Amino acid sequence: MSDAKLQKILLQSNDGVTIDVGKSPPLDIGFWRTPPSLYRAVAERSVLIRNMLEDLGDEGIGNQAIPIPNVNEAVLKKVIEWCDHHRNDPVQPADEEADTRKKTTDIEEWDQKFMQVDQEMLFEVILAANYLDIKPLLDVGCKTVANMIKGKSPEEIRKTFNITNDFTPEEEEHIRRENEWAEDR
Amino acid sequence: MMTHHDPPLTRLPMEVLDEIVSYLSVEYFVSLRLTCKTVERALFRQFSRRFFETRQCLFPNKYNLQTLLDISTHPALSEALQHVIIATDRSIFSNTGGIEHITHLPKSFPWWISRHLKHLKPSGDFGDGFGAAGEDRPLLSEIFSNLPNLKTIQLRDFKGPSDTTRVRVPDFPELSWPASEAYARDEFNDHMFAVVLASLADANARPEHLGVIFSGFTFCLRNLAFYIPSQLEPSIGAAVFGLKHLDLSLNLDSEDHPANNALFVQRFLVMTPNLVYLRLRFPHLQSIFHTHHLLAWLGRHAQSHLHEQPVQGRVQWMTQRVGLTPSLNEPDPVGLPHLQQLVLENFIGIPETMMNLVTKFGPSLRTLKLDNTAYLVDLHNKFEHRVNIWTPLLKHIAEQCDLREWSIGCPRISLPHERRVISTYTIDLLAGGSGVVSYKGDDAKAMLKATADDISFSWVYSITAARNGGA
Repeated sequence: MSDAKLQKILLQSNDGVTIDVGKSPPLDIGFWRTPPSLYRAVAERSVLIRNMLEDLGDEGIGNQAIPIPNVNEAVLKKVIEWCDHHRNDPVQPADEEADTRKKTTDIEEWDQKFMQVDQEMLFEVILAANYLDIKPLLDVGCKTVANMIKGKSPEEIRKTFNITNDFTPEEEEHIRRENEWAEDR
Repeated sequence: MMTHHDPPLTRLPMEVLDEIVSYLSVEYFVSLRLTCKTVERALFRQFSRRFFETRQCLFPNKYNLQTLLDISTHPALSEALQHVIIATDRSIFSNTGGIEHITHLPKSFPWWISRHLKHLKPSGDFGDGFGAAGEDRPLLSEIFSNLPNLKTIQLRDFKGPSDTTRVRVPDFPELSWPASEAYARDEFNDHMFAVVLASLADANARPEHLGVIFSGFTFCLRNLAFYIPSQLEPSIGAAVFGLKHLDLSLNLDSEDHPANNALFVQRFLVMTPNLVYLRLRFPHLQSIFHTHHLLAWLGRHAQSHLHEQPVQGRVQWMTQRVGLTPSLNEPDPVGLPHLQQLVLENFIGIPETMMNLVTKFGPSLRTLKLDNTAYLVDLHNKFEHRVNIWTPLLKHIAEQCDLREWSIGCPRISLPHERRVISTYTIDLLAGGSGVVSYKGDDAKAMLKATADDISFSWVYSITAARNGGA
């Protein structure tokens, strides 16, 4: 095992806070702590970070914090929390353009609780997962939003997401017509 | 310009929204796009791709074709539409005693069936009346000419196995119920096929795929469906010249000794010299006369002279009837120099026909499938001779073609009988007739040779197989 595996990995959020991958909550709580060798496994849930670490090489990592310019401290900590919980998950096989209509929106219990946050945070996590290229986290986020849409009328969806209807009656009629075609297959 | 005051949902990048709606059924997808302009715009590409790239027209009646026409005049959706599927299976109503008798639909009928029924007049507007006056061709012509990216036309039914009728459409539950005993021979599909060809010609369309997929033999296309009036020949010829993919379900006249029961099919195939994929499905258990003229012609090289094999004894009359020489009136054989995939379903033929097909298309052929039941009718073989003709045939195929994929379904041998060619001595070769062997990969050649050696002959006369044809 190389020394690099034992090194801590530091990430810097866009508000300038340096976060130790091994020290993000809730890992400090209680007696159990993430062994250093697992820091990399946690960080590498993100394809973006994994590629960066590969590019930097063992020496390059040093004690330097990796800047994550699109994500703030609170969101980054939340994302690291998810990555830590899922650090041992098997790597997902590449999507083979699965039949979109057969996708399930089932979410495992821990993830459901993890996603019980306000909408602002939910969408920030989704955007961060998209930016950091953490496909399983992005999936969980998208499923959560899909579940918020399911069973609702357009008006109820607007209410849920604080959307204002800006269609003219003619435009709305036009969209309804196209929708009917889509349903009438 | 979006700001942080916009609702977070509308700030998501397009690819993330696509991901979210991939979890939604059509019902909530369309609700979501009704919420606001930003969301609607972001979802439009996915919306058109998912629901309009392929359109299924269940029954080509006025209402359904009008919907298709409306879509074809939509500036963006018409560009998205690439594949048009027209379902013409009207048999799903036949066991209800006709449409005028339907008052209550079984609960198992999905809503869209009821929707179609609502638009049907009691007189039976779906097909019988419609089309007879010729209003379907101009409508289809207009639709096809409005679709700049039209690639595929498919005529098909949604019938399942022979004892039930099944309707299967994505997103909808499958329903099935007993099919009525026997259908009168249905000429509607012949009509629709001719109309589709004429409409493609009218519209100057240049599709790449043409498919006719019917499972019930009474719905398969007959030779006459391929009749093209001479004044339409140039325009239909131009429309189908670029076809790469052709899939046909054929029910050719299998009267005992027709001069050539596939004349119009042959003439049609001459118009499609650029095929890369050809699939010919025949109904189950017809006599050899059903497939012979078409397949023998297909396997023939232009101006070729096949050697006639000396025959004697009681099979002589049959050899003369099947005929190894060109059939009457047949056109010069089509070349198909680009043919890479050949699929024959319910193949029935003499070994010579198969040999010729393989020799002719061998240089370009990469996939060969003899699906379902493959009968070799060996005219020179007798039960007591017990000659295995499949092993040398498969070895010949392996030698002649550089195959990457093959499948042999239920290979059988049928030996001639006094009155009929099929139905007497039928010998299953693999696992009691139920076996299908297939392979895909770089070792296809070696695997086919190995399979040829593996073929086992029990030479047990199988009464069941003879009676049912392994159905």
